[in-house]
Amino acid sequence: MHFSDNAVIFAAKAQRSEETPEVRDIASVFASNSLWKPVDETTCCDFSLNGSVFAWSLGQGFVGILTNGDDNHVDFESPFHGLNSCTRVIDCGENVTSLVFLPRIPGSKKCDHDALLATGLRRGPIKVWNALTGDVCNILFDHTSRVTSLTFAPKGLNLLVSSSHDKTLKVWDMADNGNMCMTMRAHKQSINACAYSPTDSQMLASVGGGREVFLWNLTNKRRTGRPTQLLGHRNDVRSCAWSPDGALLATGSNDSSVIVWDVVSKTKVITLGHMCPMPSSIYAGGANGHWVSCVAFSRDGTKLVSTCEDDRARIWHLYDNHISVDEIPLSKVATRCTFSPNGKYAAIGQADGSVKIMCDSNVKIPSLAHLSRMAARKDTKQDKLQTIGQTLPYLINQYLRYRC
Amino acid sequence: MGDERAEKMEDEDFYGGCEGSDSAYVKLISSDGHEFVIKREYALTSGTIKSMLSGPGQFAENETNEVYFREIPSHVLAKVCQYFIYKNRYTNSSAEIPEFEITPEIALELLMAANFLDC
Repeated sequence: MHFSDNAVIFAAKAQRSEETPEVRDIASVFASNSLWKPVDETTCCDFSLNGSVFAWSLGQGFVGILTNGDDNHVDFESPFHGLNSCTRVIDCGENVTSLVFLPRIPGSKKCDHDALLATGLRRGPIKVWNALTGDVCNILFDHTSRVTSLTFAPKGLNLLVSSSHDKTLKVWDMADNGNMCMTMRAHKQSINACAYSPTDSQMLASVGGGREVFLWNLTNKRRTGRPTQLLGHRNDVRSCAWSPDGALLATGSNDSSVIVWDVVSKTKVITLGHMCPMPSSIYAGGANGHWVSCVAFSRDGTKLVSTCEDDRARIWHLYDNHISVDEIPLSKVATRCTFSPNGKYAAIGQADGSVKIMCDSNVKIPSLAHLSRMAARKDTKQDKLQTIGQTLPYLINQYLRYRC
Repeated sequence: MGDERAEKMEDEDFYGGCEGSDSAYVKLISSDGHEFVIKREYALTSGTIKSMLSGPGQFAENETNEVYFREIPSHVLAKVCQYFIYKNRYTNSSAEIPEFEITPEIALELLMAANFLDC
């Protein structure tokens, strides 16, 4: 598979993979209530880090929790019958606009468990819950507008970063009882998503309106350098996701494309187009019916899920001989998507509070070359990549940099 | 040879050997002389080994079912064999798939071996 510099793969023209994935539904609990219409909400969903708890926003400020009751990965075998099927329902008080599961925080008594859930709310506060008992652990109050995205630092740094429509990113120290350490200002329009690199505790990506994609280098929790900008999108950027080895960043935008960037050289690796042919600048910069709302990588790095305004969610298999695509139709506009830790499930949150789960029962084992590449990139700092590259044969070097 | 084998079958558990074209096991030899005996079907995960052992023509490997890798050291070849077994165990299985651990020190050498072995 050759990724040339400006390769564009179109969803409409890509190969379909052989099996259609099974789809399960978690229906909206408010569907029967004819007076309720989802307004200004984001149906976000997330799996806990070991996969045993699944949380999603039901609407009206409620968050549903699903778990098997033990440490096994949550499965969606039993049919969902409304509020009674949830293990727990948490009332956040305001519309939930983002949520993420955090890793354990060993120092703090209330936060030392596996089901720590942070929810960002519409007016700005962030509430941190124990998803299994429903207790509030912390309330972080500083943003003045809706909290669009939450992300946490890797390697046990216990930092939570939030992005908001008030054009700032804020860094919170969870080990210090949620104290706010730093506010990062550089965006000129509201920030739609942020994500920490899973391997480099200093690198953070944030994307927002006005085509802005920024890469921040945090020297420590109180200081950061000026961010570098990645140029290429032609409309507001809605979402960003890192590959699990921290080598690639995927950004989804309203210009109907998902661009996968090589973070070290700051160039595009591949573009996944949702509209064929690519829209011209006028349509790319405005309404084209194919706005991409969310992207996410799978934990083994071989799959990417993207949700698009044309009512389809697509799973892209990146490293087979050709890029192949699985499509499923959605009944409502999708807002968020995520993969489960075991790679079997992709959860797609739809605008009315329902969730579609795509099940892939035969998870393919990645090739040894891909596994070694991920292990090598996880461990390599950016500056060392250059020196390592000089000792390797050309094709292997290109493979290591995701160029072929 | 056939008689000796028949006798062995009665005496002890018979694991099959490396001799013959339909042997159950093949031997992979690393650059530093370690010999890894592994089931033939697992070794055939690698496209390169598959073509060495069953390709047309009279390769020496075909006869003795041994493949000598002059550039793959034993710590890498051991990991490669572990991958063969990992892949065969968890492909088309509904069990929970554990992560395949690769220590960062061998990652680059393993990448080169995997590229050579086409697996």
